Amino acid sequence: MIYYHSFVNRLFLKNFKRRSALQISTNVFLCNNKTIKTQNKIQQRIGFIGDGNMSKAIFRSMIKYNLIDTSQVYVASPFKQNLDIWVKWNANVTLDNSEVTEKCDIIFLAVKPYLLSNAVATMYSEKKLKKISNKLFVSILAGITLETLENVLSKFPGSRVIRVLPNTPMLVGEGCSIFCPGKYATREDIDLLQIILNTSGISEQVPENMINPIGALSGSGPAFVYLIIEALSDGCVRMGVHRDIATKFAAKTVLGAAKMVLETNKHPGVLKDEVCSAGGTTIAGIHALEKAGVRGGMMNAIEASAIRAVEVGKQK
Amino acid sequence: MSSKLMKIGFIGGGKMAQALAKGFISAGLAKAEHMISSCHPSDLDSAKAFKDLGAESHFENVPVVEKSDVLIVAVKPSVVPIALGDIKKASGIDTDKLFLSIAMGITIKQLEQHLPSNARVIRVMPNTPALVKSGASVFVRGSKTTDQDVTITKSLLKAVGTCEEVTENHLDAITALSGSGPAYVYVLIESLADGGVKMGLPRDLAYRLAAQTVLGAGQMVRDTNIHPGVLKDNVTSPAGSTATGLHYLEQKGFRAAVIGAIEAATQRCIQVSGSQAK
Repeated sequence: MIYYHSFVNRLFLKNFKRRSALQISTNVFLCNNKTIKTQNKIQQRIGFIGDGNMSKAIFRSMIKYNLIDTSQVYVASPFKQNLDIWVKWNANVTLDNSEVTEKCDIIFLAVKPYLLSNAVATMYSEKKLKKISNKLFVSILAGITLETLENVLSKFPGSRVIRVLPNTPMLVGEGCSIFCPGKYATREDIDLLQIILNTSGISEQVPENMINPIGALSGSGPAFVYLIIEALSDGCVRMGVHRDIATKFAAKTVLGAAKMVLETNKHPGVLKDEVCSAGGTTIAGIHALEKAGVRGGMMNAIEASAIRAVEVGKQK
Repeated sequence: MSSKLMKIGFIGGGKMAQALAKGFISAGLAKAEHMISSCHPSDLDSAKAFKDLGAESHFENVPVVEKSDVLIVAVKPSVVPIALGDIKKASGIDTDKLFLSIAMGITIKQLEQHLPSNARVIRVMPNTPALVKSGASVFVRGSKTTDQDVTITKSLLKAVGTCEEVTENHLDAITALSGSGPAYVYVLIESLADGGVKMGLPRDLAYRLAAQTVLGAGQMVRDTNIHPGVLKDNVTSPAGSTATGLHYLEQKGFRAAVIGAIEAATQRCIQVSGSQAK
């Protein structure tokens, strides 16, 4: 990668390998001669209520794509041992949710959905209430509606909510997020969130009723694809191939096929036909998949996931 | 010989032969009075059918050959050796003619063996919707076939539907697909109608709609040249009835069932033509 230094803003302190102490204000990453993203650092403080995998993915992608300094990040968890890794990453950690809420401008709500009320209760402290105002809350809780969120957060004056469904491939710059702003969210709030989400992938604003079905795909989908990759690899190993190459090639094949769909804009059925020569190996494999009812299985997976989101959202 | 107003003879006068005859006449390719067929003495219905058209009907194969420019071999496959044997044995008849065989499973090699050496052969695989001029026919050239033979064949087959030239090695799969295919579609039509009836539709309406839907969809694919996947998407609105119906079909492995049917039918074809080669 080649970095083009444009101008200096402020001193940059830790963690970044051989770079000089000069902060890079605007980063242009050139990778294989393709410009990925041009993004200024954001100045806001980012908080995470909940230390789980999605919080980590969002945090690490923001750091990787140089959106913030670790000093701008605050994480709260009730379990001290969970915070060890965050300490290692140089984030600010606390056992007190209200500290995160007080100190940060944007607060990611990332607890398990059924723990929402508990979490919010502890975010709030009588004496700090005055300080906990005008915050942007970003909820990644599956199935919890804007209505519920706005209700629960109404005790914080001037608070706005945006509901997001991000996904873990943000970690490798291929995130796929959807979001729906609450009724008090401003244009600036939305733009800021999109900066965060788009640095590591793509994002789309959707009506709230679309979050569960699309989320079943983009949120849970990576898991479905991991299953596919593993199964492809298993098949290959069964036919005598070494595991390393089997998995690597399985992943690359999925990646390549995905790119073909995105970049050629051809219908997947057309692309499939183009690979399936008459009486050839590919069509034999396709037939095996059809016999296994894979298409139906995929459709069922999305359906099951979307339905579950609704159930989860209703749990108290 | 011009390709218009040919004298066409039918060796065998069954349903397929009758359908072709009617098609050729209404396409203006032949006149009934120049048409002649040979039917089995016991097959009075076929003889009558040809006579009703205004054509001649015989019990013997040789006169059919003598009086025609182009011959359609339309007997049952098991009868082919006998019927063509008659012609080979007969002396003094001009057999330097085009023989179009629609007998299933009888190869070019077999046809050329059974016929005199100066006969030119084209093997044809039509299908039953030729009866309503919506046939899907394919043909294979023999070793002595001329380009004019091909031109004639195409114009004849287009009178009853579409026509494509293929190589003989594809015929088993083609038989499974377009030969047997109408049967699979009849099953589909009946099922669509059964579904409609179950949900409260009168039977006759259900059949008309089912048939026209299949016909229309077929035309969409054939005439727009758009990939069926794209056409499917164009009908499938989010969370609509189509999406629900399609999901059900996928869950039941509909695609695999159809692919499997073609595979099984092809293999059966291979088996049958293998045993007929003996």
